[in-house]
Amino acid sequence: MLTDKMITLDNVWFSYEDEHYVLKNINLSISEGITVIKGPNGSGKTTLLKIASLLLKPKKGHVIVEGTSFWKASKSVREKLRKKVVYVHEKPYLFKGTVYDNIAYPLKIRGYDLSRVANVAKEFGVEKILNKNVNELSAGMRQLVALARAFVFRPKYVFLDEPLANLDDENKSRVIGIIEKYARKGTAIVAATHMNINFNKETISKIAFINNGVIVKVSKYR
Amino acid sequence: MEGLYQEVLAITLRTLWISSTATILAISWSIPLSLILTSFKNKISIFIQDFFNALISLPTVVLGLALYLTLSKSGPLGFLGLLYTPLAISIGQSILITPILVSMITSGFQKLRDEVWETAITLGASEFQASIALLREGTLLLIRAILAGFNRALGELGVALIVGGNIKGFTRVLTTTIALELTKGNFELAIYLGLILLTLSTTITIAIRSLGIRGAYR
Amino acid sequence: MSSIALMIIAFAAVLLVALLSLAFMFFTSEKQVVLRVSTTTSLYATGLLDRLAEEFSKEHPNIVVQFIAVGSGEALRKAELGDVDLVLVHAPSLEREYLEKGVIYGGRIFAYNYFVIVGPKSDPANIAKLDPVEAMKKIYEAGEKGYAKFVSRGDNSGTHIRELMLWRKAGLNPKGKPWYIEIGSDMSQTLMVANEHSAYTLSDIGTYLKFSSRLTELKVLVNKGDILVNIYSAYLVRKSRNEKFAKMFINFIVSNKGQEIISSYGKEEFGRPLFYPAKSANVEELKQMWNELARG
Repeated sequence: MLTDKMITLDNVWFSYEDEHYVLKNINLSISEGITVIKGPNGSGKTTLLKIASLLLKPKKGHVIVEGTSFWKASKSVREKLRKKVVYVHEKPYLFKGTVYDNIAYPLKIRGYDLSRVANVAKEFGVEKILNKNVNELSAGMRQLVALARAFVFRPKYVFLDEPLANLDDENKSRVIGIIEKYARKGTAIVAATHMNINFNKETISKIAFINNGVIVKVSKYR
Repeated sequence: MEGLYQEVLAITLRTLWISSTATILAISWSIPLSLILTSFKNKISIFIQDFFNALISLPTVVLGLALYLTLSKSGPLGFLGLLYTPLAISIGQSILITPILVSMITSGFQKLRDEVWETAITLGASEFQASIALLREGTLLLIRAILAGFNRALGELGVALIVGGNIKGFTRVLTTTIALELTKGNFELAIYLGLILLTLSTTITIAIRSLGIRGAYR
Repeated sequence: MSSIALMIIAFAAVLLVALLSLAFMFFTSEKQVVLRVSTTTSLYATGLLDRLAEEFSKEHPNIVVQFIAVGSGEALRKAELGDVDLVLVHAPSLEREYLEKGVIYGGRIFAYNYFVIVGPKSDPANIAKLDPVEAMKKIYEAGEKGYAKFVSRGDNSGTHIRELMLWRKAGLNPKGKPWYIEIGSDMSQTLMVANEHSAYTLSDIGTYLKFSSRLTELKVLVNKGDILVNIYSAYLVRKSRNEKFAKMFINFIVSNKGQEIISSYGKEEFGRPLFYPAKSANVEELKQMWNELARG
């Protein structure tokens, strides 16, 4: 395990608009493999994920990405680092247009070649609906498209908020398999959930239990 | 009566031209301003939003008068020679409809902002690219706002009258013609013109909405 | 900040529109002289001015005459601000004010007609055919007794100023009385309101004739008397840069051709002309009347 390829939350506290703290004294490091964040609704999972995925700035504490304190860095450094990270919302927003448009988006804005879209679509089982308009999709299909969109540009750090929501059993297994595959390849994947997900133990890096904004227990697997 | 039809046609076309120009001008600064207001959630931006909201009810004659004094030969911008020209009316109307545009676009975008912005950013978009995404996703509400602004410009009287002078063949628009025909006692003509105005704004609204619905969906 | 890029695009768009429009205006203005004339809505609404401008353009195709019709006060104010080249008004006391200020000069009387006192057909104040000032006294009496009302334009127009002068000459002040209705609007509105209330009012003959078919409750009761004379004058504007062309237009209005147009205008529509050309009266007399009126 390479210690400089990780995101570390160092004594992170967060509150929205000067209200009570939603996250308190969070210390967590995320490296390759699957990190599971487990906790009930309202425990602060989403906020934690947004901070770790560099979307929210903590009120107190630091977020260190591969050795750099993220929020202290310059704008260009931050943009560069953010491009290695992706966060998938619990209820993901799909852009207006087709499934293809959505999956291709991260590649288009980076100027990458679009041939990957077809492969990733196949991986997630949405190759048959590539030309469909997103407003015709079921919730489950939307979830798969959002996931495909997140993985298509091979980010180093992937943050998934309730990744198996709205999926039937077949697709649940499929997605679990995909997550495990990427984890083995060296991607750091963080999955926040209240469910019990049976990831292959070899792929799990750690499981962090969160309640009321505090990490109450961390089980390390590696 | 042929001359009359020609004149009414000319007035109608002129009205559309002037109000369209006004709308284009207003859009060009209202959209960036709205984007800026959407991206800041602090007290200043909230104050500015409330300010624009209040400005929506600005009486057209007040704006017309203020603009008149500015563009008058004795005023600070008199050297531009803009008074009593169609462009002056366009400028006045663009100022008039800016609060409507900013209010509608900002409040509409605020709902979209969190979702679209965050999604685009996390997928790797720069702030500029995320703004483009926001604009694209918000096309329907943009269209709605633009239509509201355009219709307001179309039907206003005070600015066109004071700053345009209602000059025959030059700055006379539908609303000012209606006012003039009223004082001349030609009530029937005034009502016909009013119906033309109504038909115009209704037709344009329907046409653009039907375009918008095909592309946009949420 | 990304929005700064958009702002720059915005300014570019605005600049482009502005430059295009200014360029357009520049190119079209090279060929023509634009003469801006401020005047009153009642005078403009008769259509006489467009007719005069039409004839004038035939003789001078490179001069475009634009009329801006507002109230007398506003018309003179525009001259003060320098936004017009010529003023056509009929409010001698105001004209004198602006003459003294040096805002306008070179005045020529080009037409006249009469104000009329109109009122309910039943004429409860019994003013028919009386001397105008006497008539106002009787209206006041009747108003105080509760069987007459008077509607005033209250807008500083030529008509309004004349009405105030009539009250002054009668030694009366109706302001604030319950039967004295001030509406702050133009002549047509004033007549409509008078019609609604079956009230008396002062009107110019042109507007009254135009609306007479709708004014079912009213009729002309007093139409004679020097004090009712309505004198139309044309003035040059000190601040104007088009003095040469403005003079040409004034000269046209007072020329035989112009005066002929004025004398026959309205015959078709109303069976009688709306104006008397200045040439038809003794100019000295007119000037004297003007002076009288200008003194208030």
